[in-house]
Amino acid sequence: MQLLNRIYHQYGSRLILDDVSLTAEPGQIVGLMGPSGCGKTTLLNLLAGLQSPSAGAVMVDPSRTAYVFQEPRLLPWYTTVENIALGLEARGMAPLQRLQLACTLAETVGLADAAHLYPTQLSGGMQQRVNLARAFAVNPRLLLLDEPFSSLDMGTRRQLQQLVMAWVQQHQTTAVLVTHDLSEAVTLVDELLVLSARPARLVYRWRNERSPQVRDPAYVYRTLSALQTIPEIAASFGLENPFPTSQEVRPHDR
Amino acid sequence: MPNSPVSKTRPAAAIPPARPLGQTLRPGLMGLLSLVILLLLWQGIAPRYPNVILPPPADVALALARLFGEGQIWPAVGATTLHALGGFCLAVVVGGGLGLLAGVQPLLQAALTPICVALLGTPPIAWLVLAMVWFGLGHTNSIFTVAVTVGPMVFTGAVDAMATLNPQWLEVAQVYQLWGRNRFRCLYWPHLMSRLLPVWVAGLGLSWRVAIMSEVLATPNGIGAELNTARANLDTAEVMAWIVITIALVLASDTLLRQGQQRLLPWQQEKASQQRLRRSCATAQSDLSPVRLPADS
Repeated sequence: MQLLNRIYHQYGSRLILDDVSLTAEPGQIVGLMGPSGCGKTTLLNLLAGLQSPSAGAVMVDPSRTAYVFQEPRLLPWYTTVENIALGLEARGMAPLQRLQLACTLAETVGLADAAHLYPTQLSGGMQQRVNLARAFAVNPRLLLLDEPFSSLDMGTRRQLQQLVMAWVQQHQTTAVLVTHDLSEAVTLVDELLVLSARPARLVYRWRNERSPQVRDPAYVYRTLSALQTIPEIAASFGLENPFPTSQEVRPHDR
Repeated sequence: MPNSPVSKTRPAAAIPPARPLGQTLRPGLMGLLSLVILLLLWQGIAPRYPNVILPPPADVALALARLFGEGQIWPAVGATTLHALGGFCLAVVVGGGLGLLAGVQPLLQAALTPICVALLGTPPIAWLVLAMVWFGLGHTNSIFTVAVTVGPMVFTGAVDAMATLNPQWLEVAQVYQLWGRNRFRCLYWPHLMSRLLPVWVAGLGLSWRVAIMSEVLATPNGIGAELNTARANLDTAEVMAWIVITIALVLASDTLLRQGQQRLLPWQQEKASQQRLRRSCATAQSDLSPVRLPADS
């Protein structure tokens, strides 16, 4: 499924995205990686319809797209279930049905006890769970995730990662995940796209050879250390050439 | 809905845990105690001075009872309420409306802000003098003075309310397909209410004070006018009785509006410390300057 076709995006006179195309299949997670400020969030904003590209085609139905923002962005006047039900508002669902669905999702993300609390009463991790459940609620065809786990403790991060993986497989959702965390990428994504610094260009593509169920820790660590030696990936962490002697371990499928 | 998941989850978390009775009673008791001490001090000092300077509390109580008994209080309270509420409503409609427009239209904001600053800087007494010239002595000049004093404050609050709408929420609204009426109901209305209600609470408190001030000087009816008459008759006990009535009136309106605020904004429970701060601010001269609210976290 083609999502972006030859996108160019300019901000003022500065080119931010330079000929970026993106394809993703239902039930798969595509990872986006690149140096800070290279335009990853802009890419997600284009996919979400929050911005329009200077040139190129965005082939996404915004009404079937959900966006898990980096910050929770919950509405402070709504309780957990009301926030989760926010996207159902536009779908013409009866209020009771909306709340029931939201309650079920609150349980799914582990917030059954906090269903009627306001965002200020929730911890950061709990707020991020609401953010995720709010996206699940609309049963999106395309799920956009902008580093949603970066500010969470490890336990919560693992839990939410598992939730996203399970959801994507079960509902055959197409997911695009922006991440800075290589081990997260190896664990979660089926395909990793690496962008260059501004203007962002696709410079590296890595396909995860293992299906989600068999990505055990040993595999993750092995792959992680191999990937770290790839200059394009190292560059996305701001490291120019970390291990110049180990160039030969480069995976071939570039 | 007995079997819905809504009732399955625990609503108990939304109810604040009950505090021990002693802890809830103690602040009230302390307040009462300080009031009693003040009355005793007053009672102790009063005999040293002639009645015209400082009548004893009992005299004030008697004067108060007389005002109630003779029914003199009701027309005065009615007139003052008319002036305060009339002026306040005018301020909310005109100041608030212009403020919301200015909040979305930067050019209008740029045009109106200097006028607003000038109005905020003008003492109410100056308006009163003008109002006497323009409208003569009557209801109109009181209402006008209240409106012109409170209006700029409401205007600034409304501009602020529009300006503090988080653009990130607008993105959320767009992603989740909230348009038109839905967006207004889910986003604009709760946000504006949470910003405007506190300004209105402060504005109404100011309205009472300005209304009574203008009545003392330029309006033949209302509590202020009665104060003036009592003063002219050298009946200090009655002056004080009117002051007690004023305090009761302001407190009642303040409590009522604050309760409405708590009902409308359940997610914004004011902490006790904030309440105290706001009370002390409400009686200070700083009422006359634009209200800046702490940013939402």
